[in-house]
Amino acid sequence: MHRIERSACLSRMRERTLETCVLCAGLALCSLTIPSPSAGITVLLASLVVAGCAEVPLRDFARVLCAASGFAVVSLLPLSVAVETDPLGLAWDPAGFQSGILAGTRAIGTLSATLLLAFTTPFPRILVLLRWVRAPAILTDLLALVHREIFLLDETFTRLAKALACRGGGNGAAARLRSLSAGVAALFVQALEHSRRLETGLASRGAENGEVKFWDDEIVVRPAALFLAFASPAALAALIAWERSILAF
Amino acid sequence: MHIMEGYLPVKHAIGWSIASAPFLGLGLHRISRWTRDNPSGKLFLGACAGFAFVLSALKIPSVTGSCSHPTGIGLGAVLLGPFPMMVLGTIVLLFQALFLAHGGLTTLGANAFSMCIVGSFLAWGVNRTAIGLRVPQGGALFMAAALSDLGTYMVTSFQLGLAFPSVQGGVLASTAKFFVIFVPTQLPLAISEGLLTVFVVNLLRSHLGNDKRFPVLNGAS
Repeated sequence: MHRIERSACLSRMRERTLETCVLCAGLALCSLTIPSPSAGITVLLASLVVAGCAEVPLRDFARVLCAASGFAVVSLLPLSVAVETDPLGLAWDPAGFQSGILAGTRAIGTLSATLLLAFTTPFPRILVLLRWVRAPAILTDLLALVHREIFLLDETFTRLAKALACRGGGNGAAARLRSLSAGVAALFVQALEHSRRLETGLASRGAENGEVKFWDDEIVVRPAALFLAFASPAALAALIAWERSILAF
Repeated sequence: MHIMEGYLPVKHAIGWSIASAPFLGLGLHRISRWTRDNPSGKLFLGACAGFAFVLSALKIPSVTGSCSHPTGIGLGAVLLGPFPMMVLGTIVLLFQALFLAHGGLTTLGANAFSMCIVGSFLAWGVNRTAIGLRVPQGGALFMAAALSDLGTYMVTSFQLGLAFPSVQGGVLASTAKFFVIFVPTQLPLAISEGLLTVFVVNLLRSHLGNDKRFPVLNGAS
């Protein structure tokens, strides 16, 4: 979580929110809509190239991608077997295996496009874009508040968990569950206390009726860059179609 | 329990997003109306969603020897009600997709439907019904959290079964296959989350027993 946030804040594409969102959506669409395993793999390679150009730490990017791809590998198992009723049992299903490979590569391709967005665009910039497209104010306010809270609460819980572990709260499953419950309850109380302090702070700065004001930036539309963001996934889709025609021979 | 990014075909991803939209719209409308009457409500809900995110990133010991993570939906739905929890749960799913690569943006609609909508209503309904049947509050909370988890998992199995139907038996056979294969991990998780929810509410009662925002901590349903 912290590594993704740090990478996004240091990325070369951090100021190009609109273009990055369009590019990532285009890449995800390529991976989702072209029914070929090569689509997912090509999108993955394209995402890695863009991430490299944006100075994203590729080791962190690959680590997160590999960890999340585990689900695709695990899910191949239930898709590759069929339940037979006479006699009752499991049998190898080649069509299911093909479908699993297609779903797995599609998932990895789309995931790489989403990770590209997360690793290159700071979340506050995504909020600016959401306000720019007139998303409901209550939604953007809540997203902004949650984004602030998760880092604070994560640090608070790490401290609480360490303190509980030091007092022997981690010896045995029952003790761990009890200790975890105590930590979670304390975290909830601290979260409420923090929201109360934030309310007092905002009220003392003149905020009325729970109005939350955030520093807002503006979205700059650069036509050339936007065209490039649209054209790159389209070119990639054409490349995948060409690959498929070559493979068909 | 979340469906991975890009795992569902595009038609299914859009379909589940459309199915979730009215519930989330209603939830947002209720939250919006509530925060208009309660000026500090937005900050309070932000803190609750932040808490749910951190809770969902925790590892809990599982009976099978592995580790899993709680969803926090059962606890949230019992404390805050199903409508706020539908929206907060979806926000948590969004942050999980972006910061933990868990779930995804294209599968957000499907995951929100199974976890936030079905899970919240199931937890809230089971808790209310059990309290109405005079089940002790600990038992009611345990059932609410555990059945919410299992309900979420059943809907996820159906979503996967619908997306990848078996050649023999179709959607139902495929749903049953997903359900049976993942039961060994999900059943212990549901039991662990049920126990965790009971312990947490017992501890919260000693800290926040007089807080009027949480009637369930005062013994009310």
